[in-house]
Amino acid sequence: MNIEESLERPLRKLAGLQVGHPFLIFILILAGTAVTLHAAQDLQMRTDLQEELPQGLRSIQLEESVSNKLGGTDVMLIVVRLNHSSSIQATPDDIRAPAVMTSLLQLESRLETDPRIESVSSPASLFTATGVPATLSGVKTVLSQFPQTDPLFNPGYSATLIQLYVTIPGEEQKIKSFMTDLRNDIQAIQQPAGVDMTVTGEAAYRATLTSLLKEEMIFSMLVASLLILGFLFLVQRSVARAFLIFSPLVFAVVWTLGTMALLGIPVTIATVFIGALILGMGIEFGGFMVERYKEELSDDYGYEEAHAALITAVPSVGTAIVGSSSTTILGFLTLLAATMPMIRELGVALALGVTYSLLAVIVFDPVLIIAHEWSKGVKPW
Amino acid sequence: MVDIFERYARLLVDNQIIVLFLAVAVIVGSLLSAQYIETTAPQYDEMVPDDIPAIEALDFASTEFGVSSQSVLVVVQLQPRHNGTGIRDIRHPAVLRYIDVLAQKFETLPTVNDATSLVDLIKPRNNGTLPHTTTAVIDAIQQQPGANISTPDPIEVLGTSRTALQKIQSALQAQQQGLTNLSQGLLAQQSGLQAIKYNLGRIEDNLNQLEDSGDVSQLLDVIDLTQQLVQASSATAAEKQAILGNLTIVENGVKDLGEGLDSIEGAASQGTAAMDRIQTALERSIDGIEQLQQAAVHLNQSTGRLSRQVGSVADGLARLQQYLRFYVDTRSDRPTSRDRFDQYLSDDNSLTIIRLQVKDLSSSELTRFVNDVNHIIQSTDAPSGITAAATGFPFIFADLQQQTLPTVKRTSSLSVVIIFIVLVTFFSSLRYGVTAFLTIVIGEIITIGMLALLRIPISSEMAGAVSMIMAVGDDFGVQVTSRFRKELRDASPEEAITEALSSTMVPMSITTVGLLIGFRAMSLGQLTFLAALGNMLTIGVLATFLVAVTIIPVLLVIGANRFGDQ
Repeated sequence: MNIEESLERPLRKLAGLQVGHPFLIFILILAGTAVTLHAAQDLQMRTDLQEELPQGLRSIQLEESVSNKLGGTDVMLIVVRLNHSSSIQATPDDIRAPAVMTSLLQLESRLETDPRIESVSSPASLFTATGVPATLSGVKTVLSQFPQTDPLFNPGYSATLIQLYVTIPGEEQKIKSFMTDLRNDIQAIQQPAGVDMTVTGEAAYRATLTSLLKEEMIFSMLVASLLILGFLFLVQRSVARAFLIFSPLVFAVVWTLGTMALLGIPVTIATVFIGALILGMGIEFGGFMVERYKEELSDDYGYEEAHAALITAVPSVGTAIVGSSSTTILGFLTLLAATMPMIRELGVALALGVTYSLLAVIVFDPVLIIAHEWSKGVKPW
Repeated sequence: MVDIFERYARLLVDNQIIVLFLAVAVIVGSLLSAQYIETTAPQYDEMVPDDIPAIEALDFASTEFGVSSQSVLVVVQLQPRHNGTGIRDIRHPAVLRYIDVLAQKFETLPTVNDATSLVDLIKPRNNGTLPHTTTAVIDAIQQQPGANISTPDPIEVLGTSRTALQKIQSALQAQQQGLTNLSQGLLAQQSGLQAIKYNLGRIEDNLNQLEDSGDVSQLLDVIDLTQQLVQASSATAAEKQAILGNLTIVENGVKDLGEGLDSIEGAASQGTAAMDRIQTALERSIDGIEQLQQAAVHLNQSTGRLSRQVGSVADGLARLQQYLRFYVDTRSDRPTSRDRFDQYLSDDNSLTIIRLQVKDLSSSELTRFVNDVNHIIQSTDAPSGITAAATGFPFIFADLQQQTLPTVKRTSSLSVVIIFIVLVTFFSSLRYGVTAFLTIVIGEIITIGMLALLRIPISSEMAGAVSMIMAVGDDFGVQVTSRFRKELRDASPEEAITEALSSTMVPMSITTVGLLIGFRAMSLGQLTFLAALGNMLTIGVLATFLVAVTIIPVLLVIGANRFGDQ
């Protein structure tokens, strides 16, 4: 007896249990789903790209060495630009305008009070003690005495930079809070009309990436769900069958995300599409189960025949998809040999996803099929 | 639809040799093409869309200001466990000279905007030159503003002078206020004296009038004339006597008044003389007070001017101090940092850095830049016991690029071994295990060949894709093989493969389309950095699917016929 044949016996018993106690299995699955759904609320986002790199690389070790010995101060920029598209009249046409310099000074003094900001500098730093000259020519005269300020302006004098030396927090939530405070500081000063201030740099990049990861995860799952459901409707020509194939995968996604949270596997740039991939990969399993069940039924079938069809389909399809998915799962687990942490985590997440898809189809799909048959009147009573 | 698959299966069985020949041609072509596969590393700054404000601003800063997110550090440090007679303190003058030479060489690279190091901080504190002894280096580093009298920090000196001048200005302003009060007091005193003088004048006028009023002779003459008129009148003697008697009383009274007035006139005359003297004295006092008040006003104005001048000098010093601070800090790339040395020198004096400001580099420039920096480091003789190496994004990129192929080989080799063992175990047959396994082997060869043909480089984040394709692709091989073996129990190999393909191609097609949808979802949103991974997986899944429904059925039939399976 080979492995394929040895798998059939427990699967046949499982099928009997599903036919005999579908409600019990349904309740147990819902309870498990509720637990993982709750855990999935705590799923972390990780945007620190440094953590995604192989820590054994010499260049990474050197950076760590520098960071440990000299401290990690990161540069952030506030790009201050004239907005030529502004419809407001009497806006500055030179970034060196006294109103702009005054607003830069105001912003500097606000930012200097933030303990997370080590230092702030801009061309307006020149005027800290003396105040900003009242006229543009006055500002130009002062600046002209210091040619080293030239690189702080772009060639057309339509933009300048505020440089911030900050210690960027490691946690995504703190970065978000820091960015919010920074934007509030910018909003709080008297900005001249027609002048835009945009924060950029690593913290801004990470804050952007954090929000994008959340959006993209949901967006990709929704897109994949809609496309796959649409495709299933087309192929199966039955809304019910399409949902019978698709529904277990939704549960598999929830279980996977919950387990990722429990195992401390974060959503990263590599695992952000895990939901869409699970839906894509798992569709086959449900397809096999529903197709095989349908194959076993005659045109005018009753409860007994449906019962027998499930008893046949579950072990038959189960052995086939356990065999094929076991290689898939092991194949994904070989990604643990990769050097990049995010690839290793992707391997574990995908292996979890396939395992849960398999379980969802073998354990849950037959229960859904029974429920569907009951709804059509194919009942034991 | 099942009829189509049956016809397709028969077509395969009837043209086994042609299918095999075509398969071999594709495999050989893919193998040849795979030789030219390129590797790359992830460009993290390209991972998010350009139209997001923070990213757009970074691109703008890069274009307009030459600011780059690709910071590079050249780390110069003591060699760990160096047991020779080498340098044991990174502040050694030889190390500084080495850093200076390296920085100058780096600045010659076209992609480097600026190279700043410890040397740029020490030179200004040592008359623009590098110290010749470690002690001198340490002195220069430890030289705090104001701590060294012989070479005081001009910024600090200016600050101290400005503070002193501001205190003087405050004192002058207080004095000016005192003078203003004095001037106002004198002015009030002057006004008071003038009021006294005026009143004295009024008194004198009254005295003069009083003096003039002392002459009663005219009145006596009038009385005499009246008496004569009475005598000459027609009044009775008694009446005349009564009138004349009264006139005599008046005359005597007037004479008494005249005598009193004479004495008053004398006193008034004396008072007038006294008043004249007082007025003269008062006039002199008023003149004196006026002069004093004018002097106070002049002094006040002078104090005000002096105060303003002191204030201007203090402001000038403040401006100069600000300019100097800006100038010094701009050169050190840390505009307001008080601890600039801390940014370049570790506390244990074992490590320092050269900070390179690099232009935004393209992939090709990046590789050349890494090579150039490494060449400079290797070609510059380091002092004994000192080592230098570069880090930062371009170097991490290069390291990752070098690791990509080994990583692909490691993970894919592991996948191959594990999947092979599982398949052989699952089928309990080496032949069927190998046949199913060939799905992913041939599928991977075609995938790599296609990637090379389409010039899609493999990067480190795609390193897992080879294993993912194997994991997903072997499923197709397993499905076809497993079903073929089941059907073979009751049918010929040709009939078995026809039945197997008829029943598996629909779910396999569904899987393939589902996977392609999942992979396409990677590039439909804003995060498009995994689009390349999605492309590779798309090619891989399609390739393994095609292998599973073309080559594998033919091999299964040939094998079953060859070994007489039924």
